[in-house]
Amino acid sequence: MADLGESWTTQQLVEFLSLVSSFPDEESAIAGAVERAAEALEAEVGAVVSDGRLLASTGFSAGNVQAEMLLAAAAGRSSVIEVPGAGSCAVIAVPLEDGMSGQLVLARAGDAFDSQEANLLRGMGRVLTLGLRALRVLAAERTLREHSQEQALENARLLARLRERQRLHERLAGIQRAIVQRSELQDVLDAVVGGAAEFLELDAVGLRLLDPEDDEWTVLVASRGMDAERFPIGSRAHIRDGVGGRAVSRKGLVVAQHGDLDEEAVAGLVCRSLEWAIAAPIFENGRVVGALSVGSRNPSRAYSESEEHVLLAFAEHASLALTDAKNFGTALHRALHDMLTGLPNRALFLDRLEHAAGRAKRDGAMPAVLFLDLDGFKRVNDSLGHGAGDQLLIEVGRRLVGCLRPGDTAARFGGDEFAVLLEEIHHEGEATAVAQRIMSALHVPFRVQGREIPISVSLGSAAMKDAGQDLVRDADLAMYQAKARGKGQYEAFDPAMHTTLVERLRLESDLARAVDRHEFELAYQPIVELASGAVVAVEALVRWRHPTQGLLLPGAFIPAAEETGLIRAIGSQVLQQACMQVASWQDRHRSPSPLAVAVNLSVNQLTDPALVGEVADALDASGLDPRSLILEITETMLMEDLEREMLARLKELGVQIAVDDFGTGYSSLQYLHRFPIDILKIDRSFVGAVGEGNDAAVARAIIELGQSLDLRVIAEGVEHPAQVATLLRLGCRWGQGYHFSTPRTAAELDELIVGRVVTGWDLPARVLGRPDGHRPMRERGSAGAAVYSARS
Amino acid sequence: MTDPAGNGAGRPPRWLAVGRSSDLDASRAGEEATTQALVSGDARLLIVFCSHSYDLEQLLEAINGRSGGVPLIGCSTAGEIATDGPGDAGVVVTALGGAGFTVETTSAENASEDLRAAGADVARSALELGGYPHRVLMLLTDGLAGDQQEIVRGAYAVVGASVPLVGGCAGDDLLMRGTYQLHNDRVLRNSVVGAALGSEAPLGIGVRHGWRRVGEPVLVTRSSDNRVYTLNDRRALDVYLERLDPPAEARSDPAAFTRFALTHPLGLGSRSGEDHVRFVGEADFDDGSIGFIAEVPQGGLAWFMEGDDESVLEATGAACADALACLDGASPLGMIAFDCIARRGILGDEGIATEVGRIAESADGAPVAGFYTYGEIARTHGQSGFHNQTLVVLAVG
Repeated sequence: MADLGESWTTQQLVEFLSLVSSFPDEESAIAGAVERAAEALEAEVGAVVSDGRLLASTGFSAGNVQAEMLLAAAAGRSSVIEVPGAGSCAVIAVPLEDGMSGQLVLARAGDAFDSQEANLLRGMGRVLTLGLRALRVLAAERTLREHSQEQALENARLLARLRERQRLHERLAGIQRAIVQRSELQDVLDAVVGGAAEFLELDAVGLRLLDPEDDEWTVLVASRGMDAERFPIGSRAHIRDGVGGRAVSRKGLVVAQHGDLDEEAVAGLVCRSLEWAIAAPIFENGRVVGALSVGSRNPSRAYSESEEHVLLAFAEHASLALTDAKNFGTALHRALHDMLTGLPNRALFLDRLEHAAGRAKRDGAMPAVLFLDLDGFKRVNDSLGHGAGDQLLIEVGRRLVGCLRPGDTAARFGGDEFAVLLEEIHHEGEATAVAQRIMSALHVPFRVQGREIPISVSLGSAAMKDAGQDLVRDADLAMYQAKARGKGQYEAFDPAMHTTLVERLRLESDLARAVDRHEFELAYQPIVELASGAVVAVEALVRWRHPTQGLLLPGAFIPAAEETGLIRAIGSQVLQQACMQVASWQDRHRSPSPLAVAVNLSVNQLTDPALVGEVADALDASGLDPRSLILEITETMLMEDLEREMLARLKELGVQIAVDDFGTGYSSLQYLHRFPIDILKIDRSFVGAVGEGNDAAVARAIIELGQSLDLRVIAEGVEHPAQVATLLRLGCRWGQGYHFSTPRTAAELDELIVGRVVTGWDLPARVLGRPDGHRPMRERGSAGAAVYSARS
Repeated sequence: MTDPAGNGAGRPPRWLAVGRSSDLDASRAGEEATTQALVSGDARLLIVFCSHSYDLEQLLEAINGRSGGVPLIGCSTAGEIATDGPGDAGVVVTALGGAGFTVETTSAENASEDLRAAGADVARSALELGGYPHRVLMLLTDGLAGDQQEIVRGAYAVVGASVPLVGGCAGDDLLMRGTYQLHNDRVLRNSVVGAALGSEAPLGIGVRHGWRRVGEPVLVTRSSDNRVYTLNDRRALDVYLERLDPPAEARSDPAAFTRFALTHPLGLGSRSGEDHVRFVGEADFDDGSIGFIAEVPQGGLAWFMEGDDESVLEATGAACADALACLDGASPLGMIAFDCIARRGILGDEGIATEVGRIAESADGAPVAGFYTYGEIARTHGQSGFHNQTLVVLAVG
C-alpha cells in the first residue's frame, strides 16, 4: 500500500499549496497551515515556531498554550510532550527553509510518525515556505505602495511590479490547477518552462531530467529559447556539463557567471553563449531527478538574487507535478489492478472490453472473451491455507499472461475467476486455440510450498457476433456449461446455452421445493459375499420423485444440488431414511451379523461441522447400531487435516468409513495410513478388466493393499460369473454389481433381505459398497451424470 | 422512565435520569417527560430531544415551568431514543444533577455566516468549567447549515485536545426543510448550542459506524468540495453503479438512487481507526457526478461501503463497549446516543428497537437517551471530529 499512501501525500501537498496560497496574509496562512497539517497527520497538536517565537499553534485550549514546551520540541530538546486531554504525544519537527529559521511541529498521541509521514510534513514545510515568501513580497510591495502614494512616478512603477507579482502568482496558480486537474505531465512541464522564461524575461530556459537508464546523464524534456539544433528535446548531457547537471549532483541551487573559478561551468556558459545561468534541482518524492535552468545572453541584463526565488518557485512546481504524476500513475494502476496477481481487475477489464467493442463497431474486428475458473481451488485454500492459495493464483496469472498475444488482456475477477480479452480475432478458431494453449499451460502441476498441486481449469469463450452482446456473461455461461461436463473442459458460447440456463434455474428452484416437501426416495443395491452370494449390506441410492417429470436419477439433479448447497439437506434426509429402513430390516431379521447400510457423503457434507450431529441424530432416531452404518467418501476427499478431523469425529460415533472408487484418485499408502478407513471399494473400471481376462494387476494390488492394512475390500461393478471367480482367487471376499442385483426399492428387496442367508460378515458389520455403475454422489455433479442415467 | 442515581464512593453525588412522553400536546408532553426526569433535587442540566412537529415554544415553556429554569440545551430530531426504545413524534428529556457535575451552556446564532466562529463561541463555555477532572463539550448543531467540520475546527481552536467533543446535528424527520436548536427558553434555527459538562467521574465516548468495504479501492480523481466528478478517471456515477449494481430504478430515478445510496456510502481511508464515512446524497444523471453531505477530497483513496443489520448492530455493541471502557470499570449513570438516521434506514423499525435494546443492555440498568441525527460529532483523538452514518455514544460515569 506504500505507493497508494504516497499518492495520498502528494495530493495533500498540492491541496496544501492551494490552501496556503489562498490566505490574504502571512499570519492567517501560518495558522491555517498548522491546522491543516495537523488534520492531515491526525495529530492533536500543531505549531510553527521561528526565531524562538511561537507563531501559531493548535491543540491547546485558549489561554493555556504551552509555548515553552513547543519551542523545546521544535528545537529537538524533547521527543515526547504532555498535552492536556491527549496525554503523551510523540513529536515531529521539520525545518522551514530558505530564510526562515523556523520549524513546523506536530505532536500526536499514540503511534509515532513514520517515514512517509515525515516526508509529507517536510513537503508541507517546503510548500509553506514557498507560500509565505510570496505573501511577504506582496505585503512588502503593498506597504511600499502605500508609502509612495504621493509620488506618482514611483507609484506607477511599483504598481507595475505589483501587477507583475500578481502575474507570477496567477501563473503559478495556473500550474497548480493543471497539476490538480491532472493535465498531461508534458503540458505541465512545458507550462513551467514557459512560465519561467516569460516571467524572468530570459533568453534560455531548460528542464532536464535524469536518464532513467543512466543517472550520469540528463535528458532535455522541455525548453524555451535554446538552440533547437544543438539542443533538441531529448538531447542528453552529462551531469558534469552545465549548471543543470551541477544542480542535480549538488541537490541545491547553482549559479554560474563568467569569472567563476568553476571552469567547467564557465565552459558550459560559453558553449551556450550565455552571460550567466542559474539552476534549481527538481525532486520526485524527495529524490533529486532533474533541474530547471535559466540563463541570459544579454551582457546588460545583470543577474540578481530575486531570480533565484522565482526559479525555485517554478522548480518546486515541476517537482510537485512529477511526484504527483508518478504517484497518481502508480495509484491508478493499483486501483485498476488486482493486488494479488497484478493483473487488471474487473473494472479495467470491462473498460477495455468496452473500447474493444467500440472499435469492433467501427472497424469490423471481432473481440472475444475467455472466462475461466480453477477446478477445486477452494480445496487448496481450505487444506493448504490461503498463503498457498494466493501463491497458486499468482502463478496461474503468470502462466495465463504467457499464453496471450500482445494487446490481449488477462484479468482476475476475484476468487479463482480469471478472464481474458482477445481484442481482435478473425474467426472463432483463434479463441479456441488460445483456450487450448491456456489449458495446457495450466495443466502442468504447480509447485506451491514444496508440494505439487495439479490444477485443472474450466474455460468458456464467447466471440462478438452482435453489437450489444454481453461477452462476459456469455463466456461465463459457456464456462458454466464446460464445468457441467466435468473438470478441465472447454466450451464455446452457443445461444442455446441461454435456454439451458433457464432450465437449470428452474431445476434449482424445483429442487429447493423438493427438499421442503421430502420428495426424495431411496433405492438399495445389495452387497454380497462373493463365495455364498449372501447379502451382507445394502448401499442406499437417492431418487427424486418429481411432481411432473416422474422419478429422476441422481445424474439429473445432484450436480445442481452440489452447487446450490442443497446437497447437505438432501444428504441429511437420505441418512435418516436409510438408517430407518435398515433398522426396520434388522428388527425383522435378527442376526448376529446384522445387515449394514452404506450412505454416500458429499464433500459439501464432510466439510459441514453439523454433520457429526446429523449422523448421531439419524442413529438415535432409528435406533440403528452405529456399527451398521457405513459412510462412503471418495479418495479426493482424503486430502487434509480438516477431513481427517471430521472422519475421526465420525469414527468416535462407532460408524465405519469406506473409500469409494478406490484407485482412481490420488490415494497413496500414506493417505490411507493417516485416515481412519475400514473399507476400500475397487473402482468398477479395474473390476471390469478382471472379468475380460485382461490385466488384473490393479485390482490385485488394491486387494493386497487392503489385506496388508487389514481393510475390507469390496469389488464394484461385478457383472459376470468369471469376475466372481477371479476376485475370489485374488482374495477379494465381497462385491456388488448387476451380476447380483440392480438397485431396487425397499419393498422389492424386503423378501430377499428378511430371508437372507446369514453370512460370515463379522461384527462389526462392515460392508456396504456403492451399487455398481454408480459414481459417488459427490461426483455426480460432473462426469458421473452420464454413467448414472445409463446404469441405474 | 426514572432511574435512581448511582454514585461512586467518596465522590460528590451525581445522578442522571431520562423521561419521555409521546403526548401530542406540547405542554402536556413537556410536563410529563420533565417530571419523569427530575427524580432528585439539584438538577444541573436538561438535554431535550424532540420532534420538530411540536409547538416548541410551548414545549420549552412547559419544561422550564416544571424545572424552574434549569439550564437546558436540545434540538429537533429524526426520531428520539429512550431506555425503553426508539420512538417518533415525542420528546425525551435527560436530567443530570448533583454536586458532582458542573455545567455551562451557550448558543451561537447565524451559524452559517461563520461556522468556525460559531463553533469557537460555543466552545468558550468549556473554558469556564474550572477544576473538574473530567470534561466534555456537547454540541447540537443545524446540520443543514454547511460544512460541520468547520464548527468542529472552531471548537477545537478554543479547547484544543483538553476537552473531548460530542454531539450531533439536529433533524426534522427527513423533511430536510429546517431544524431547531433549543437553549434555555429559546427556540433557535441555524445555530449551534453547547453544554460544557464537568464531572468528578469519567466520561467515555465511543464512535463506530459498522460499514464494511466492498471490493477494491477507487481513486478520487476529480472532486470539488462536496461533489465527486470522477473516480479512477471515469464518471463517478458510472463507477458507483457498476461496482454496487443497484436495482434498475436507481439507475434513472433520483429518488430511488438516494434510497439505495443511503445504505451504500463512501469510506475515506484514515491513517488509523475506522474509515471516515461519507453519505451519498444524490447523483447528477447528466454529468455523472455524485453529491455528498461533506467534503470528499480529490486525490484520496476511497472505498464503496455497505452495511446490513448485523454489521450495524455489531457497531452498536462496539461503540458502547468503547465508551464504557473509559469509565475505569465503573457502571455508567446513563448513556446518550447520537445515531445517524441512515443507520435507522438500514435497520428498520424492528432493528432500531433491537439496537436501543443493546445500548440499554450495555448500560446495565442505567437510563438511555439519544436521537437520530443528520451527522454526528465525536472528537477524542486527532483533530477531525465530524462523522456521517455513525453511532456516537457518550457514557456518563
